[in-house]
Amino acid sequence: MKRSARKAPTRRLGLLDLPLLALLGWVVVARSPLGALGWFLVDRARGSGSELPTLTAYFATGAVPTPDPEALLAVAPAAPPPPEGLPEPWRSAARVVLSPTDEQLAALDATYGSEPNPELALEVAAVGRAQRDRAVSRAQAAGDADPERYAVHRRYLPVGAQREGDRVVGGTAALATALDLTWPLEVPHRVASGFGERDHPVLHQKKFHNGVDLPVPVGTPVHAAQAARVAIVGEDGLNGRFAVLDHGYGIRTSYCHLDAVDAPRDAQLDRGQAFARSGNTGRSTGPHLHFTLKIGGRAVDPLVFRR
Amino acid sequence: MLRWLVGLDALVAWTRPAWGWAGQAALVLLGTHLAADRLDEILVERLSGLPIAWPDPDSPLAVGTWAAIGCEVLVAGWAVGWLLAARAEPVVDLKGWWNRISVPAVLVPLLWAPLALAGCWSVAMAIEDATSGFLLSGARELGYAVAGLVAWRYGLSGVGRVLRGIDRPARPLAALPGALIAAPMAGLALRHGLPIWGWL
Repeated sequence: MKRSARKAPTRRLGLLDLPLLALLGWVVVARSPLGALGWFLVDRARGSGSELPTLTAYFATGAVPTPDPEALLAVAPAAPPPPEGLPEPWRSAARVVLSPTDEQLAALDATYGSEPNPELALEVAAVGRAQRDRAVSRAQAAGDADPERYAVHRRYLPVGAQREGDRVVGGTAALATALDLTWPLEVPHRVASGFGERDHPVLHQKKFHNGVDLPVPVGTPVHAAQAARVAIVGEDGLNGRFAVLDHGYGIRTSYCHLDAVDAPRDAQLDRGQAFARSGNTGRSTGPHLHFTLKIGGRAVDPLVFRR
Repeated sequence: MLRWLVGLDALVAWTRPAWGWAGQAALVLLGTHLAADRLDEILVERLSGLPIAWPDPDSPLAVGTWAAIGCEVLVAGWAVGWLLAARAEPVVDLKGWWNRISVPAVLVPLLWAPLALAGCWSVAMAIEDATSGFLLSGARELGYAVAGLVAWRYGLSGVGRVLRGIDRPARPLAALPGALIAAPMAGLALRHGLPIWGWL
């Protein structure tokens, strides 16, 4: 096999390559799952560790910390927002997630007043205007659709800013969306089985109930709890016919034991729009709607958010 | 002073075979992660549409994310593995390369290049983020300049190493199984890991 007589590798530029290697090492730590692992360990050392697995937390799109319903209930009723300030329910949600001082709240109101976009105001408060603009411009350069949206450009933020952005923007937006949910049934009904530990009516053992059971006759219209995309329409032996609606910001609602789902997958629904009829399918002891609310993948009690 | 610097430079360069591969590997790791971050979204979207009775309606999210992490690890291992398998003193002319052409000798550099390029953009972004606090202007340009240097010193040399240094393997299709996963990742790196598509 023919080979060149020239020596390889070259015997120069070592003083350029070595610092570049150090730089690459730093970027790997700052911008890859190795970096996420580092941040996770620092968090743990400070005693404020995330409960999410590190790697999945790094990947999850628009990862949203689940707000604590107790914290939500503990917040005192807010004074009416100023005319051009951050509107409700964003204001209440921001108070839970950020616990802002009066000055911080005034700054939020001022940003919102100049550009009435609550997501933008929160992101500017969390990571600063310059960092946000850089991320938006990178999303534009990469050809991403809708680069102004936080969920789209967040991947271009540094890991630390991404975490803070997820906490503030994701957390507040999730909570605001949840606070704005409407109830899926318009007919009078009771709550037959609440959220949490219960004696399972079929299995006769203690089981965690991840939603609420609302007994209504078969064929009762079921309404979208918030504007949503129909994420999943399915059927199995446990849930019967079911639909999962994606409201954005990590908020999903599930509707199980349905008689029929009238909206196809990926259909866009308005808040309160009827899209299914309740039924008695799957593992069920009588006609009812099983309604579940999940924030950031974790089930929370929907009754806490019933307004 | 200059002679002393030149001597030091040569000394450091002499040790390059011991650490040069680490920079090339780091670059491809960064690009692979950028691609995996996109793969995650696509997998979750596709899995949600499958007619499968998931144990929980949110299961596709967990499955998609872990599958993307798995793909990232596999592709990074594949790319770095072939980098280390490539000989340090490669052929440098076309005839020599043609004489030992093989599936990995073609596939590996073809898939390595977009991953390394995407890694360069990660470097540019990191430099811009780190310097924009104290540079009033020019942080982005500095980022791209450093990324250009990295592309020259590690990207180009990495692609060159896998292009010219892979011998004909004992099993003719040795790189193929890994390439089946690496190819879509390289495609994602090309589509989403370069800051040019918005301007085209």
